[in-house]
Amino acid sequence: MRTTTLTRATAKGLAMTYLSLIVLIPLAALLTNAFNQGLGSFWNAVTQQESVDALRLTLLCAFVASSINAVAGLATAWVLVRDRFPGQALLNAIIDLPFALPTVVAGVTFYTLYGPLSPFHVNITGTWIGITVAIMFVTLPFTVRSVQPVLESLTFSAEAAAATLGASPARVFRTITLPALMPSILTGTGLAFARAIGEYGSVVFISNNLPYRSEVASSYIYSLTTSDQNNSAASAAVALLVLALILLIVFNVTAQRLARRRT
Amino acid sequence: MQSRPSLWCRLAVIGTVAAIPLTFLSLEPAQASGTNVNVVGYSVVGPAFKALESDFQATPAGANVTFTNSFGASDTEANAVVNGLPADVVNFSYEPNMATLVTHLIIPKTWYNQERGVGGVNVNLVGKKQETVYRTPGILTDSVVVFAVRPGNPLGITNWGDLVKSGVQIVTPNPVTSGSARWNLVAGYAAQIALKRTPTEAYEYLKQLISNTIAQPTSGSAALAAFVAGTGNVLLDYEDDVVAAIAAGDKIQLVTPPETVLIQNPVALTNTGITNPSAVAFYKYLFSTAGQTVLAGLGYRSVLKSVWDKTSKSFGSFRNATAVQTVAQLSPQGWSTLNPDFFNPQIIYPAGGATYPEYGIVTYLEKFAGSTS
Amino acid sequence: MKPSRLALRTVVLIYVGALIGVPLVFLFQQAFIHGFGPFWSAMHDPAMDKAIALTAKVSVVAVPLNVLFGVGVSLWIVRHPTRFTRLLDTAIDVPLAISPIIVGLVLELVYAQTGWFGPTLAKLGLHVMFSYPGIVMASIFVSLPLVSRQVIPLLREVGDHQEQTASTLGAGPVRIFFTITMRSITWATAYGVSLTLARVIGEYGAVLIVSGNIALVTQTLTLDIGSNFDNFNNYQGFVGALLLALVSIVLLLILGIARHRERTRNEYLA
Repeated sequence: MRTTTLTRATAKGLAMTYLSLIVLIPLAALLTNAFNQGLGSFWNAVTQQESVDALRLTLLCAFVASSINAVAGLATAWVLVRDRFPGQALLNAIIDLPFALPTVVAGVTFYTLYGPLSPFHVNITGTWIGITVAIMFVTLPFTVRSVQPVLESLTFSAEAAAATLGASPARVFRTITLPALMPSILTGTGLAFARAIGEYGSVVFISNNLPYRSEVASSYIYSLTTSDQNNSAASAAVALLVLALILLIVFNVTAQRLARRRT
Repeated sequence: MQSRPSLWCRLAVIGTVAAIPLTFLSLEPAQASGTNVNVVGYSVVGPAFKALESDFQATPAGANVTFTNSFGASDTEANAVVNGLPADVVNFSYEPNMATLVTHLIIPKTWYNQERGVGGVNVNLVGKKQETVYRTPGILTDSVVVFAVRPGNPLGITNWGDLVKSGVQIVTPNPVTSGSARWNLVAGYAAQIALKRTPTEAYEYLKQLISNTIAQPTSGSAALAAFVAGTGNVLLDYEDDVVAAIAAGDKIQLVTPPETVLIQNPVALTNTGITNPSAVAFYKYLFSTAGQTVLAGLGYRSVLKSVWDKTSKSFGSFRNATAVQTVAQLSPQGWSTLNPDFFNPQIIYPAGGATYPEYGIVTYLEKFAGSTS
Repeated sequence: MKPSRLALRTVVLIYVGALIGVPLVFLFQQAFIHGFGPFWSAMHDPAMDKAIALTAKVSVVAVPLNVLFGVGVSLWIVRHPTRFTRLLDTAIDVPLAISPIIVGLVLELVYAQTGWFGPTLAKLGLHVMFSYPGIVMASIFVSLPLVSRQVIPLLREVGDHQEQTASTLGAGPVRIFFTITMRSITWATAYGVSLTLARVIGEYGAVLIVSGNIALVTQTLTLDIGSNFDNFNNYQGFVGALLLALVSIVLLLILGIARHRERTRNEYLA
C-alpha cells in the first residue's frame, strides 16, 4: 500500500510539473504581461471600441455555431452508434478532418467554395454567416466525439425496460437516454464554444477582417501583438480567456452535478 | 488472461517514457556553423531569395555556402530575430523593422553604410534614377505601389481618383498587421501630395479610400489571395508581387498609377553576419550586377543604375519627375515620423484641437469608417 | 425501417456531407487537378518531405505524452473528486480556448531569449524557441485536453464497481488498471489519440510563431503548406493538405475496423 501512495504521489507530481511547464507558467507570463501596467490599463485595453466590436461579433458567431453543433453532434453520434448503413465507417472517419486540416487550408477552401467565385453561387465572405460556418466546421469534432463514447457505453437495458412499460420512443429518449448523455453534451459544447471564441486561421480569411466591422477577437488580438502593443494584446487575450473559463466552468460544473446525481 | 488492448497500453507507456529523451537528443543546434548563412526576410521576397541563393551558389564565392531561410510577415520576423532567431542577412519590408533591430543591438546603427563599405557599391556608379528620385543607401530593391484589377479592367481604373468613386471595392491588407498595407496607404497619401494637394485634403482622400475598402486581410499574400478569389475590383499591392502573381498564372491585370510612393526594402548584415565571411560575400553579391539582374527579372526595380537602364522598359512609368515620392520626401525623418503620424495605435490630437489627429491618422480613419458603415 | 431513423440518417449525412464532405472533395479535386503524375512528383518535393519528417518526429513525442497525461489526469479527476480536481478538470480545457497565435506568443514570453527562462536554458545548451522542443511544447499545449475530454465522461458513466470488486478479490492496483480500467476506456482513449494526432499534425498558428518558420529546418507540414500558399504554389499546398487529411481519415478507418472486429467478437462470445 505504501508503494501505491508513493507511486500515486509521484504520478500527481509529474502531471503537475508537465502541466506547469507547458501551460501554467506561460499563462502566468500572460497574466503578468496583461496587468504589469495596472488594472486601469487592462480595463482600458479591453473596452476599446474595436475590442468591443470584435468581441461582440465573435460571441455571436460562436454562440450560434456551438448551439447548432450541440444538436448536430448528438445527432451525428446517434447515427454513428445506433444505426447501421453502408458508408458509416467513412462518415466516422471524416469527422476529425477539421482538426487535421491546417487552418490556412480551411480558410482558402471555404473562401473558394463559398466566396465570390463559388461553384454553388453563394457568397458568405465578409458576413457573420461565413464566420459562423467556418466555426461550425472546426467545432463539430468536439460535439460528436464527446457524446460518441458515452453513447456506445450505454446499455439498452434501461431503455428496453422503459419501452416494455409502455413509454414511447420519444419519452424513453427524453427521460432516460438524454439525461445520461447530457453531461457529455455539455462538456462537448463547452469545448466547442471555447475553441470557437479563440479560433483564428480558418475564420480570419473568410471574415474579410474589416476592423470594427467584420474583425474577430483573435484577429484583433493578433493585430495588437504585431503593433507592439503587448500589454493591450495580453489584456485582450486574458479577457477572452476569462470569458472562456467562465463558460467552461458553467458547462463543466453542470455536467459534473448531473453526473453525480446519477451515481 | 491478457487482452489485446492492455498489451498495447503497456507498449504505449514504455514507448512514451522512451520517447521523452528523444526530445532532447534531437535538438537542432540553434545556430548552424561553418559556411551557412541565415537569411531572414519579409514574405514577398522569399522566392526572390531562393533564386538569388542558387545563383550565388553557382559562383566561386558561393561554392560551398548553404542557406537557412525564414520568411514571413515583416514585423513577426523582426520580432523573432529580437527573440533569438538566428540571422546573418535581414531584408525587411520597411525601415522601422531595422530600427527595432538597432535598438536591440542586432544590427549596427549605421547599417545603411554597409552598402558602400562591405557591399563595395561604387558611389559614382549610383546615379539618379527616375529623374529626381535619389537612391537611399541600404536599400536592396525598389518597387512601387500599383493597382491590380480584373482582366480587361472593366471599371476602367487608371488613377487614385478612380479608387474613391462609389461602387469601387478596394482590397488592401490591414495596416496594423501588414507592412505592405502601410506602403499602400502612404502611397495614396503620396499621390495626393504629388498632385499638389494639402495634407488635410490628402487625409480627406484617405478617409474615402479606407471607406471604400471591403476587405483588409492580415497579410499582403492573403489580400492577393482574396482578390484572386473574386473579392473586390481593385487590389493595392507591391508591383513585384503583382508581377509574380501574373507570372504564376493568376488572372489579374497590372495598372501603374500616374503617381505613387517608392517602396524601398532595407537590407543589412547583422552583427553576427558581419563576422561570417560567407554572409559578407552574399551581401556583396546582392548589390552586384548579377544579383540585381536576378531581382530585376523577378519584377523588382533595380537600385543599380547599370541594371536599371537595361531593364527599365519592362516597368511602368509615371506622370512626371515628382510623381514618385520617397518616404524621405514626404517627411524629413522618413518612417520614424510617418509611422507614428499615420499608424500610431493611440489617436492623439494636437493641443488646440483639430479635425485630424496629430498621431494615428489612419487609426482614426479606420475607426471612422467602422462607425459609419 | 422506421421513417424517423431514415430521416435522422439523411439529415446527418446532408449536414456532415455539406460541412466536411464538400471541402474534402474539393481537396481531392485540387490535389489531382493535373492528374496523377504531377501529384506523385509533388509528393516527393524535398521541402515537403523534410516537413513530413518533422511533423512525424513531433507527433511521436507529443501524442504519447498527452495520452499518458490525459489518461492519468482523468483517473485522478474522476476517482478523487476534490475541489482541486474539479478545478483541474476545467483548467486543462483552457489551452483549447486560447487562440493559437497567443499560444505561440505566450510560450515566447517564457522560453525566448527575451523571456523568463530563455537565457538560463540557453546557458545549459537547451534551445526551446525556434527549435524542435518548442514545437513539441506548442503541440502539446493546443491538444492537452483532447484525451481526457474523451475519457472522463466515460469513466464517470462506467463507474468503478468492477475495480472495487477486483480490489476486494486481491488484485493489485497496476493489474486492476491494465486489465479492467484500460479495457473500459480503450475506445475513448483511441478516439482521444486520433483527435490529438489530428490536432498536432494540423496545428498552424502556434507552431508558426514558436518555430520561427525556418524553411527545411523547423517547418512542419502545415507551415510548409502555408509557405506554399504564400508563394503561389497552391498546388503543392493542396497536395500537402490532402496528405494531412488522409492521415486522419485512414487512422479512423483502421480504428473503425478494429472496433467492428472487437464488437463482433464480443457478440459472438456473449
